[in-house]
Amino acid sequence: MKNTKHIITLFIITIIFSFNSCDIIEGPYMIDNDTNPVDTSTYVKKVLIEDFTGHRCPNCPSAAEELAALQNYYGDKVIGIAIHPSSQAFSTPSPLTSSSYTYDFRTEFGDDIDDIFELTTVGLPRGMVNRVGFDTDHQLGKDEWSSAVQTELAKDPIFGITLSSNVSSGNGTISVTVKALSNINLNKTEEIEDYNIVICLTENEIIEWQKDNAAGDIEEYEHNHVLRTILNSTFGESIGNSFVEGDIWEKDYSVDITTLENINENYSLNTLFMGNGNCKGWDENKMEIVAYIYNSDNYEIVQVEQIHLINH
Amino acid sequence: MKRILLFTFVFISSFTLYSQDNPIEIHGNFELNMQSYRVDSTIGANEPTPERVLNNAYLNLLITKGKFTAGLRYESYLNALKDYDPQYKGNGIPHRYATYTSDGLEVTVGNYYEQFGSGIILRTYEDKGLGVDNSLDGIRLKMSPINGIYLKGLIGKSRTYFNYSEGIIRGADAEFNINESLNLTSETSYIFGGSFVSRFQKDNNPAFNLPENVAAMSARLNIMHGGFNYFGEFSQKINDPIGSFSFDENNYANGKSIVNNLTYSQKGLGITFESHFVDHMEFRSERAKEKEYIINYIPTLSKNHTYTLLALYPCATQPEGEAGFNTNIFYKIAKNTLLGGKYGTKLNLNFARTNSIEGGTSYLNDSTSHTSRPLKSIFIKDETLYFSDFNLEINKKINKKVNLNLVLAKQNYNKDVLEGKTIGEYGIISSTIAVAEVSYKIKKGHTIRLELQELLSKDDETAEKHADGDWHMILAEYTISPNWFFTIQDMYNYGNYYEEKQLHYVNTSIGFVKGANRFEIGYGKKRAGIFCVGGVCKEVPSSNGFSLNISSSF
Repeated sequence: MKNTKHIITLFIITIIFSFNSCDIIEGPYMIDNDTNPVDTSTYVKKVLIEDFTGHRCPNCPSAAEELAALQNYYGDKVIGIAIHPSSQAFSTPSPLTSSSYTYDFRTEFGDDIDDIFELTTVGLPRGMVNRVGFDTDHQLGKDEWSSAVQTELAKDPIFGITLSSNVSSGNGTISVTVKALSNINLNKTEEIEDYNIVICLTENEIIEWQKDNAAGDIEEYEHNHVLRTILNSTFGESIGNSFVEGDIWEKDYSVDITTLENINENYSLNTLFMGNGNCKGWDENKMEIVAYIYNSDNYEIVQVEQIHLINH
Repeated sequence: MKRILLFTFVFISSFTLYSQDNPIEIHGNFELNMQSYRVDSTIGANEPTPERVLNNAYLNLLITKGKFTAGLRYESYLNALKDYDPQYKGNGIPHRYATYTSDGLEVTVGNYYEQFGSGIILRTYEDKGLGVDNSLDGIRLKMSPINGIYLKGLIGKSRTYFNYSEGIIRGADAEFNINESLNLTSETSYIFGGSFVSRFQKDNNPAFNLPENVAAMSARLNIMHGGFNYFGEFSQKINDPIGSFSFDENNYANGKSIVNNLTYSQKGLGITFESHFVDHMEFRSERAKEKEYIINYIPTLSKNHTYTLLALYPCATQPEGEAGFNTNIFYKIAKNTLLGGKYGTKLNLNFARTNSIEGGTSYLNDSTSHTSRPLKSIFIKDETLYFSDFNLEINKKINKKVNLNLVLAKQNYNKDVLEGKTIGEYGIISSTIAVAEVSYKIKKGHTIRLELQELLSKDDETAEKHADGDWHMILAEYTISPNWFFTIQDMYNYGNYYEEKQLHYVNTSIGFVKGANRFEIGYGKKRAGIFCVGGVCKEVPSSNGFSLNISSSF
């Protein structure tokens, strides 16, 4: 009889526990659909998503959608770069005798980044959010991006980046100004690490083929944020490791689109498997300048900024 | 070295000598798998391996004293073999636990493996071959308050490589064996069971209202009567969106599954019929959709073939939506009959089929809603075929020296769905497979075994790409028991559409077994393919190189 009592008690506990640990959600499921909010404060913390993708990767468009949805919600606080790495067949162009997938989106810069962060080893699509978690937890699936974005956006910015562009008809200069927003000191006991800045050019609205899980072969897919080049080498240059609040670092970079296109063509033709040199046709009106600063000790990106290459 | 051994001996024996009632027992086993990799562009192994040699190794240690057991596993991936996820990296002790039983209560702390019912809402397990280890780390209690009632409760976090996922898993399971508990001696026995699993993960998505506690529950029934055995389980999982920001990606629909298995057996005859309907039942330890986070298991509905070509196109379970069945008839033709011969003949007829569910996976968001209907999915003629296998296996002992095994199979394999390709890429591959195996005992301790396999395959005419086409395979194995074995096998893809892919994949190995130790050295080319255990699959890249496997236990 005593046992029966125990069982009934246990049973009741289980039932209470069960109902308490089950949240049934009733619609509407989408509760907030902020569209491109603009934060007007001078410097806000922004976050970079590096989306590793490929035109023949059928699951990759869903990652591009997630990036777009995050940008839709967080506005200009979320900045994207799409990297088409060459160590997966997903990015290889078809031979020119075929009419589809002939464009070569690959760059030496993207491949160098993949060599360090090894995203292709875990299968695409994958991405990094401010490169946090290196070198064990940085390779994130697209569904893992959103919580990483929130964690990053909650941090205070330590640098502010101001970009301006004076480029037209494929030539001109880009000016970069970095301002320290607090006292920063990276001096470590044994070695001194630096903050590095990297200046990239990306391009939006490239209409080319894309494989898609649901839609099959899409002839006129819009490729966005495609990494085209990096102006100051893949891992950038140092801006120092010790700053007093208000310190300024400035530099100008000259841009010549034709020369930059030729660098990619050369890499495609002479280095890459099935490289066909079909990587030109850059449209400066659709290009962006993306500048980011990272800690060279752990690769974490601490600030990022983006503007149009051409002032519209 | 001798001194250490002597010391260890004295150390261990001192325990066994001085605590006679409950001696401390220490057991363990060790496994090492090393593989070298060469670039071989003919088989598609284009990527050089900078390390040249990769190695996985494990050591399990188990200490038992009476009702107390403690164990740990040291794992070493330097670096992980190519068919493993590279997130297995480095050394560590990711598995350790202690457990004891006292007055009917079993307490486990640390890592544990657990399964509720058939595993549809919870199964944590380890499979080194697949690289799966989703053990829970936390607390588990088991007790049997009265005869025939078995209760389990657990809380923990699920292992992912060397870390733990974010979600907290809570679960409870109760099983009620009516006959045991009421001391019934009737011919029919009944076992009822119910389980509940809930995952907690914070909602940190400001755009969507996400459930923080996602629950799955199931009820099961097992009836046994004479040679009949029926098992049925119904499960449901409450809204479990993946937490994306994209409007279409968050699916708020409930998942459900129905399992019905019936078996019958008597002397010389066995019949099994297994079926299930599964809809949106992938249960992960985290919202985000990554395969390694899965904490439930849906058994596959197909025969688990051991012959290579029969398993070339294996069935992978689709937890997000599939309906199917698997029927087996085992029959033994009696000895001393015309067909049975002197030793009898064993027959196994198997027919398995899985297909899509009506209208696809249930779906619910603010603008769209679809609920699958299990009954409609039974009318399979309208549904997309995922996998089917119709095969007959005949096993016959000819005389004291010769044993013969024959298999004939017809398989259909939806490569696009089962391997996650784009629909229309490969379509459904149909193959006809024949296998003949003969083993011949030359003299005492010496046995030679030969396998001849043939796979004739037809590409899907509507598909845009060609699959591998036809294969031969031959295997010869020579065993000198109890110590040695030698194997050589050749798989030849002679029917490949592309001439440069009509390749031989030759593998040889030599093994040596001495007591509890086993050594095997192999060399050869492995094809890229899909490797499955019980419907859970992984992609294996092609490779060319030496392999060394050592296993030992004490």
